[in-house]
Amino acid sequence: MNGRLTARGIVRRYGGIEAVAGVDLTARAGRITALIGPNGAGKSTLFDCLAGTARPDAGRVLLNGRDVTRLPAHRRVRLGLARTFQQIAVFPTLSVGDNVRVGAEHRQGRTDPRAVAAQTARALDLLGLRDVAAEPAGSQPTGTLRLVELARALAADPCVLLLDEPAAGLDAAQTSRLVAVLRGLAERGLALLLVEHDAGLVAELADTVYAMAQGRLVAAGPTAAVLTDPRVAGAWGART
Amino acid sequence: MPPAAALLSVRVRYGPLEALHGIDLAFPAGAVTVLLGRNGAGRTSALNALAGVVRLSGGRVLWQGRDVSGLSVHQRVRRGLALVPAERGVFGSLTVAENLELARSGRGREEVLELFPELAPLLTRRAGELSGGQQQLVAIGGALAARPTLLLLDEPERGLAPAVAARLHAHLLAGAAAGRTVVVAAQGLPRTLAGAAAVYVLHRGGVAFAGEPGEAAALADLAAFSDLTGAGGSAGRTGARAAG
Amino acid sequence: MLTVLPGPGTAPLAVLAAAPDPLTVDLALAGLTVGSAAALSGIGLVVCHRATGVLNIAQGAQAMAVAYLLRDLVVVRHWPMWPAVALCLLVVAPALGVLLDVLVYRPLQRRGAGPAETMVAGLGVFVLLIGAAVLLWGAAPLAGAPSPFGGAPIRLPGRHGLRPDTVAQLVAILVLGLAVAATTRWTGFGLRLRAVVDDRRLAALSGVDADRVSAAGWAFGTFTAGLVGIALAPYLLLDPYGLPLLVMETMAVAVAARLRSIPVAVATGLGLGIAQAELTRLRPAGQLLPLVEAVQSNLFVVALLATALLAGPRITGEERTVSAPLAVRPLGVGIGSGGRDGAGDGGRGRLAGTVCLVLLLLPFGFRGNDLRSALLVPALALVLLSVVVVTGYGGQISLGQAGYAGLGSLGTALLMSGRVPGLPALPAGPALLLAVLATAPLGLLTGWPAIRRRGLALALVTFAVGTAMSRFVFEQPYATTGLLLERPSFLSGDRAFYLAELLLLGAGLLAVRALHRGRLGRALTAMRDHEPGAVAAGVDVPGLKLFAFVVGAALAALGGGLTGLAGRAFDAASFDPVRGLLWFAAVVVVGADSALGAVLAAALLIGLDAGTVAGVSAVAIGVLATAIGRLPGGLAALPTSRRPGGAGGPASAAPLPPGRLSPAGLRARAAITARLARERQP
Repeated sequence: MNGRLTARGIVRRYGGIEAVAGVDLTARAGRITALIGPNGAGKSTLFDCLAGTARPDAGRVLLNGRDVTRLPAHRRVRLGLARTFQQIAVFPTLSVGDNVRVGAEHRQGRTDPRAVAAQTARALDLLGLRDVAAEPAGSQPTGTLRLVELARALAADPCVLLLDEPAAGLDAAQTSRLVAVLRGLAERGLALLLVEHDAGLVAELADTVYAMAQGRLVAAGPTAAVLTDPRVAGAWGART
Repeated sequence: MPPAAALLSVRVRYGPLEALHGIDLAFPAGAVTVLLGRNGAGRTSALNALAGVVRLSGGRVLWQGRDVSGLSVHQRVRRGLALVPAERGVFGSLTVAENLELARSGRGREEVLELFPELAPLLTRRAGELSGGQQQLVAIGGALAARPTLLLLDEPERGLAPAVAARLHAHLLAGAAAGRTVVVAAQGLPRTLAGAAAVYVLHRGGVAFAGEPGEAAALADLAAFSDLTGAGGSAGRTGARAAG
Repeated sequence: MLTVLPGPGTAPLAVLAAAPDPLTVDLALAGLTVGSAAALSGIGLVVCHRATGVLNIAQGAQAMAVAYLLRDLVVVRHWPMWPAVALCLLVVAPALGVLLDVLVYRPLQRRGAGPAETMVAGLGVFVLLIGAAVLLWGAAPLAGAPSPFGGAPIRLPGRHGLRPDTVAQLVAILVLGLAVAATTRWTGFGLRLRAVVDDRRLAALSGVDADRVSAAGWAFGTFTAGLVGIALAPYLLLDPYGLPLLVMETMAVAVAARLRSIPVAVATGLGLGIAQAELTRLRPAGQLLPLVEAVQSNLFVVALLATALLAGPRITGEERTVSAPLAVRPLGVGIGSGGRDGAGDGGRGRLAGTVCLVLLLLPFGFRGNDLRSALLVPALALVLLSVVVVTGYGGQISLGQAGYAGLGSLGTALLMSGRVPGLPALPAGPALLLAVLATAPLGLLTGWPAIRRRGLALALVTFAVGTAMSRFVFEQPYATTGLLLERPSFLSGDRAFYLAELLLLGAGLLAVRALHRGRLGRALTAMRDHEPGAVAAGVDVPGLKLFAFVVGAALAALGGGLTGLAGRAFDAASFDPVRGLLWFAAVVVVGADSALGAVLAAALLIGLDAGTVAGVSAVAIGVLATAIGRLPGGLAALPTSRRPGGAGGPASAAPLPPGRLSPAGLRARAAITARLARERQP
C-alpha cells in the first residue's frame, strides 16, 4: 500500500523550551527515511508528534494527505500509521501469534475474523515467526522480540511505518537480518521513517536523511550528501 | 600482563533489550584499558556490569582473583572499586566538600585538590549549581579521593577543557604505573591516552576488536575502525581509503 | 470535652474535634489534637519515604498494632505506663520496622521490583497485621486504650483549656522535626542519608550501604506510626479496622507534601485538624446541613481524595522508571497460571475448576450457621471477580471495589424500601438488577482517574474514592435506619438462595470468560502488559480502561447486593474500605488473572475464618502477599528477563578470554597486521 507521511512546521515546547522548533519532513512510499541527530536534538519529540503520543503546539501532520494532527495515537494506527519502540513493546503474557493478532484486529474497518486471521498469518510468515507463534512472547530472545513487534505493526497493514532505533539490542548478525527485512518492506511500497543513532546503519539503509540539532533541521537530502555534510558531522559525529 | 578484572560471557538485559550479548573482556592490572564504541555499543553496560550497577542475566565478573558477581555495588566499592558515570555523577543537593567527603578518605581529598585546584574555591557550593564541566571534576575527584584500586570512568572528558582532560589522562596513566587498574570508556581514543595498554572496540553488545599495546595508536585512521566507533567520521574514511 | 467515645456509624476524627464551646480559639485548640496526630503521621511517612523510596502504606496497621500492644501491656497485664510505652515505641516498633525491611522490602529492592509490586507487599503487611490483631485480641471493639498524658486539661490564659496529650504531641512534632533536621545536617549518617535521598544509585557507588539507611528509615517510620497509634487510640474504641483506616486518611498530609517536605506535612496536618474543628461552627439550615456535617467529619477523606487527584500521575515526581503497569500474574497458589487460558494449562485449569466446583457444592450439605456463612462465598466471589477484571485482566490497580459492592447493596435496599423518589418499592430481583445497572456507570469515578494514573497514584485515588463512598454514602443516617432488604419468598430458604447465588456466580464467570477470550480479552491483556504498545496496536486504551472499571463496578455491585440479601440487611461494615484492601490482596495472591482464583479466594477468606478463628485468613493472605519479594518471578511482567541468559560461558576460571571479534574487527586486525608488516620492511 502506498503511503506518505508529511510534517509541516512542527513546533513542540516543554516548559518554554522549543524541543522541536518548526520542522518539515516527508516520508515517501517505497523509501526509507532516517531522522538523525545528537541526544536532545528533538528527534524523539518529533517522532512522538508524528505517532500521536505528543501533540504539537503548532504545525500539522498529514497521513496520505489527511490531516491527523488532532487524532490520538490509536486512531492514527487504525488509519495505517504503525510504529515500533526503542524499548521493544511486546505483550509478554500473550503468545507470539496473539501479539500479532492484536495488531491485525484493530485496523479500521476490519471486523471479519477470517480477514484478521489471514493478515496475522501473513505477518507471521513474512518475518518467519510461524514456528514460535504458539509460544508466549515473554520467553523469546531480544532478536525474536524485535521481529514480533515488527510483525505486530505490519499486521495492521500500515502504509507508513515509524521505527524508533529498530536495531537497539540486536547483535551484528541480527542487525543485518533486520536490514534485509526493512529493505524488503520498502520495496513492497511501505514508507519507512526511522530514528537512528548508528551512522553505519543509516548509511546502509536510508535513501533520505534528515539531520536535526537543537530542535531544528540542519540538513536534509540524499543519505551520502547529508552524512558527509560538515554541519552534520559537527553536530552529530561528536556525540551520538 | 595478568588481568586484574574480567568479564566472562557477560550478558546484560534491560527489560526486553539485551545490551551485552555474552561479552568477554579482560582488564590488565596496573594499566589503562580503553573501551571504544559508539552509543549503544555496550561500553556503559560493560562498566556497569563490572561495578555491579546492573544485574547480569548471564556470565560472571572476576576481580581480585575471585567471582564477585554476587557482591553488591557498595561491597565492591568498599573493596576498592570506583565508577564515575557519564551522567548524573554528583549529588546535586550536596556541597562539593560533602560530595568529596562521601568517599571517606581525608588524605585523598588533598590529592584531588592538588590535581584539580579549580575545585578549591567551589568547596562550599552546591554541586547542582556548578557547570557541567565542574560537576564532572567533582565526580572524578570523588572517585579519586576514595583511592580505588580499580577505577572505571565513563567518558570522563565530557565537558572538560582539553588541557584539563590532558591533565586527567596523565594522572590516570601515572596512577596505572603505580599499580592502579584503570578502565576508560570513550567514543574515540583521546590522543593523550595513547599510552593505554589495551583497547577494546565494542559494537552492538559484542567485542568487535581487541587491540594490544602498540596497535592502539595505529587504529585511529583505519576505515573499519572508524565505522565501528563513528568517531572518525568522513575524514577517517577518506584517510583510510588513501592508506589502503 | 474531648473524651467522648464514638458511637456506631460516626466518624472518629469528627468526634475528636466536636468541641461544645463555640469559641474559635477553643475549637482551634481542640483541632490541634487531631491535627498534631496527622502531622506526626506525615513526618513518619515523609522521612520513611525519603530514606527508603517506599510509601509506608501499612502505617495505619502498624499504628493499630502498637496501640493494641500498649493497651494489652497496661490494661490487661498491669504494667506501669512508662516502661510499657518505652517498650512499645523504642523497642517493638523500630524492631518491627527493621524486620519488615529485611523480610519484605529488601528482597523486593534486590529484585528491582516496581512500585506496584512494592505496594502489594505493603498491603500484605497491612493485612497481616490486621489479621494478627484479630487473632490475638479479637475483632470486637475494646475501650480504655491508655493515654500516657491523660489528666486534667492545662489551663491557658483566657480560660482556654489544652489537653496535656495534645501538648505532648506538639512537643513530639517539634522534637522529631528538629532531631531529623539535626541528624541530616550534622552527622555522617545524615550525609549518607542525604546522598541516598539525592540519588540512590550514586550513593551505592560512593560506598554508602543503602540497606542500612533503609533499615533506619523503616525503623523510624514504624516508630512514628506507633506514636500516632498511641496518640489516637485513647479517643477511640480500639478495633482492628477503625484505627488503620483513620491513619490511612491522614496520608493526605504526606501526599500534600509530595512525600518530600516535612514542614508542609506538619502545616497541612495541623491546618486540616483546625479547619475540621472550626467547620463545626458552620451550621446551614435545611438540606445542606447533612452534607456540611459529612464534610466536616470527614475532612481528611476529602483532603486525601483532593490531594491524590491533584498530585497527578506521579505522587512524588521521582518515579521516572517506565516500568510496565502492574502486570499481575498468579503466584503462590498457582492456579491457572501463565498465559491466558493457554492450551498447555488445560489440565491445571480443569483441576482448579474441579476444586472450585467441589468447594461451591459442599455447602449444600451444611446447615444452620455454617450454611449462612457459606451464603457469603458466591457473593464475595463476584466482588473479587471485579478485581480480577480490573486489575488482573486490565492491569489497573483498584482499591475501591468495596465501595461499588456497598453501592450495590445499598441501592438494592433503597429500591426495595421504596426510598428512591419516583419509584415504587420493588421486589428483590428487579431491585438488584436496577442497582447493578445504576452502579455500573459509577465505575467511571475510578476509571476516569485511571486514564492518566498508574501504580501508587492510582492506588491512592481509588482507595480515596472507596473511602469517600463509605463515609459519605454508607454511613449516613438514611442508610442506617429503616431499610428493608428481604429475599423473595421462594428464596427465603438458605439452600434455595445459595443455589440462586451459584447460578448468578456461574453467569458472572461465563460473562467474564467470554470477555477474556477473543478480541476484547486480547486488547485487555495488551493494555495490561504494555500500555504504549497497546496504543501502537490500535487499541483505544482510555476507552478500554473505562470499560474495565464499569464492568468491575457492575460485578462488585452484584456481589454486594447478594451479600445484603444473604444477610437480609445493609451493613456498612461489610464494605469497609479496609476490607477492600484485604480483598485486593487476596485476589493478587491467589492469582489476579484467574477467574476461578476469585472463587477460591472467596472460599478461602470465608472458609478459613469460619472453620478456624477469625483473622486466620487475613494472616494467610498477608503472609503470601508479603512474600512477593521472595517468590522469584512472582509478579514479573517479563518472566524471561531474569532467566540466566545463555548460560554459555566456560566454567573454567582461566580469566583471559581470547576476545571473539566481529567481521569488521577481523578486517581491522588484518589491516593492522599488514601495515605493521609493511613498516617492518622498509
